[in-house]
Amino acid sequence: MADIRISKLVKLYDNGYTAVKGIDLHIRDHEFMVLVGPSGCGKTTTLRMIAGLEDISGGEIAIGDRVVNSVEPKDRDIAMVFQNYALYPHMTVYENMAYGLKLRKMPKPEIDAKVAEAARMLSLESQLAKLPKALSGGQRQRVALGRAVVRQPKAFLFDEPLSNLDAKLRGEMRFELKTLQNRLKTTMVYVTHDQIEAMTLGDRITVMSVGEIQQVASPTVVYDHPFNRFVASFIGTPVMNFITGALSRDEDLFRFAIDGGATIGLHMHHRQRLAATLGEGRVLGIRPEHLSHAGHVATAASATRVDAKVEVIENMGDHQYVYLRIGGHPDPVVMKCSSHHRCEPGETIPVNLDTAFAHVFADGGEYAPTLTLPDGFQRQQ
Amino acid sequence: MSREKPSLWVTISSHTFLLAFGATMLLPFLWMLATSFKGEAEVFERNPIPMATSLGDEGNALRTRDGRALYAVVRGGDGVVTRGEPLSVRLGNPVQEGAKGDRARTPSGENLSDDIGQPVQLGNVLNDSRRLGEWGGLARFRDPRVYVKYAEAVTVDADFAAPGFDTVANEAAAKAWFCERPGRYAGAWERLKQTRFAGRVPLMVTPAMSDAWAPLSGKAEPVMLGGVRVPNRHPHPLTEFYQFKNITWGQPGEPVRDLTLPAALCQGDGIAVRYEAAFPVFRTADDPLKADERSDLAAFVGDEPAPRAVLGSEIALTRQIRLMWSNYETVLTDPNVKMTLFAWNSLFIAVCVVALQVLTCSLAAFAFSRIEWPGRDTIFLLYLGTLMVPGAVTMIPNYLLLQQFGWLNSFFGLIIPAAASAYGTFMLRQYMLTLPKGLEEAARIDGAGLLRVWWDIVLPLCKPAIITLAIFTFSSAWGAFTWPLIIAPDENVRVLPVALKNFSGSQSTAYTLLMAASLIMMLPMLILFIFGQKYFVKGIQLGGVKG
Repeated sequence: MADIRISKLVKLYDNGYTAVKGIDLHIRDHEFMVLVGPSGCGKTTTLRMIAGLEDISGGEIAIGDRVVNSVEPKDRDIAMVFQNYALYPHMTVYENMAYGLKLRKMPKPEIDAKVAEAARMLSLESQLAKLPKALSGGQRQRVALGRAVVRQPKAFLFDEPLSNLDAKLRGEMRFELKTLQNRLKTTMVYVTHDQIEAMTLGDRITVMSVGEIQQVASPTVVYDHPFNRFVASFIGTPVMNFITGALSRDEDLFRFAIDGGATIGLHMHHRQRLAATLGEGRVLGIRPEHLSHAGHVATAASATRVDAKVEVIENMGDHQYVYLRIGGHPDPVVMKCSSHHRCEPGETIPVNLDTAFAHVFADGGEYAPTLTLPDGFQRQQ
Repeated sequence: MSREKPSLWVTISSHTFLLAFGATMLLPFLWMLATSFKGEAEVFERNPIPMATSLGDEGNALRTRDGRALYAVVRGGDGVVTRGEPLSVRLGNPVQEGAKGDRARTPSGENLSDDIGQPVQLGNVLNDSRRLGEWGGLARFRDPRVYVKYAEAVTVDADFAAPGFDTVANEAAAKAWFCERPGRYAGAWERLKQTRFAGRVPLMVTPAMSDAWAPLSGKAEPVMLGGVRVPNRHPHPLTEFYQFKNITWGQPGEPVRDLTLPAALCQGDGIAVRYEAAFPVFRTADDPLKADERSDLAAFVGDEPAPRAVLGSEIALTRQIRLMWSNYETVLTDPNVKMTLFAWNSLFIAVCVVALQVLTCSLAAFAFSRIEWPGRDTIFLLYLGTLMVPGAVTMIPNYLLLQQFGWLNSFFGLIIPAAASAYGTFMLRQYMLTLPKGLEEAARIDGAGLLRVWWDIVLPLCKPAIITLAIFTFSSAWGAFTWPLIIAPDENVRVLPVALKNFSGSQSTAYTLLMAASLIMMLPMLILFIFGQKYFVKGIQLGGVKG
């Protein structure tokens, strides 16, 4: 059991590409930390550097009290689960799980006991004599988990372990992983590009992009208080709506004039920094679930009612995504509402824009900082 | 867009053509197989299947071409000739047939030696089946002088008396014949007389005897002189001048010979000619005594009341398939051939080379494919470049190098230079590159060092490539000729391919034995191919075939 401290970590490849640009991160003991980000953001590289599979170009990684920069992977006392499971195809499930223990010269009865326990935990008892190719994808992933579990390492590293599974299995495995974490209470570092996994599994989430950390916080904080526009756009499905317009102030009330459309009032809590950023070119970020059909839902105090034209409807069963055009705003706006809130494409409907949980970004840049955060809000929490 | 399907006719004809073309590739092998089962005289005959011309199967009745059986002529003591048992075919043992220059042997395997102890070579016995077919199914000596050598001398008591016979002159002539020439019995007349002639004296031909015995000619029975049965083998009028008085093969000064030798004398094409079977020794066309192209046999023919001479050409012959397994037996068991020693040498070398090459190549391939180190790819390219250097170029430097190591004529010289190969490294490297890197990383995290990863993970997963490499290496080590010939000509370390050359001398080649030995040599490869077929194919996919 140990925490992992990463400081000023740099990965520079021979061809000059910098995959990780000096990140600092503290993964706490017993914590389930999820590294999430788009492809090429450096999350997997970071994980592999923690594992010792990649050389560290700069900075330092410490597991527990020990700096492991020049420690062989086998001596770091960590276990890793790979995206493609990386089961040894020529060994049975038992042998796969026992391999690491065997290399550590553990006596056979002890190995048997540990493997049996792990197999029971992952319901693999009846599969022990099989070769990996005889297993289903979910079973293989469980074997890979088992292989990591039996070793009882200081930390588990997961490299997109669920991305090869179908949606249903992925759901089941998420549940199992969470159970496992509750049970083992081991530090876990989990890399994924799937924000659902990130939200559901992580005690904290590290959102990365282009080799840098964008935000580290609990899933709720990341969702509700994205540090910048990148985080805001990366977390959440469907993606947060970004509406461009001009910010103005009328006494206590801040108004946002949507480009080519109506002007709405801003009612979010943390408006203290808005006063300094009045003007054109601001971006309002509002999640689809904060839009509602005013014909069915009463307009809240924090909401403004505007007319919008329905363009496309995506029905998800219990809810639907309605693509709306507000006035002459260049991009459509997505509303997530109950599928019983009937509307037709081409129809113009009244829409509530509830800004209580909306954010304002300084400009249209990808990494534009969020202006509506609490005072003293830290990038890493 | 689908292509038009070719018509049935085109399909059939193209398949036929291709199959026929493919079948021609088998011809050399079939020739090899057929030859390995042939007799020496048959090698260059056209028959694809080994055939033997013979009088028939062992034990069958000897018959004329029109199907009548032949019966032995039994001569009673009183000179009365009666019909005896049917003559039956007695085949010689083909095992005894060897290469020209081999010793002629009796069916029981004893060497035939002449009077003076010299071994007789098989080449002096006619065994040309085609000529046998023309002349009749019996063997004949190519050279009548050889025939003379095998007939036992007729011996007489010391007090033998006959017209024109002079005891003293006879013994002097016998002594001169047997003992005053170089050979086994030189100078040991008395001993020879006791051991070989049981105290009697060989009857020698003298001009006086020839003259005196002339009137005795023309009789069918052996001439009895003073109680001694002097053979007269040719009772038929046609062969009158074979009468004793005219025997010029017994030149004056030579012994009189009894052709009723109990043991088989010679063999031709697998047929042992036994004098006791009333088969005369036939003579060749160049025999000065010969009147007739063919020779004859005294026998009762069918139900004819009196015996007569049966010409060899009258006797029915069969021509049937005969496989000379003896070729294989000779190759495997003949102490002069030493096949087993060479086979063990070859096997030992091939196994060592395979083991070492799999070890070195897989280690090198592992380093070239799975470990990062500076200059790796450059060095690999250089390594690969050695494939472009023809083997013949490095042969002399290698030879000199090994000479300095003192490894000529040693297993080291045969094994060590083949213990690593750029080709094998290349092949295994290509295969290892296809293994997912994750496995290796998983193993490293599980606690394996580099060697462990190589042994526990990479080697088992490379099994198909390693088996392929092993098969290719074994086949090239097993079949290597030039290098072993140069580096290790000694018998102790000689390998099979080099040993095969022994069957081919400067004058002639024992094709039958050579082919039998070659087939025996091919056998392990054939078995390997049958069981390792899919790996051969894999090898071709992995990096092209290397012979």
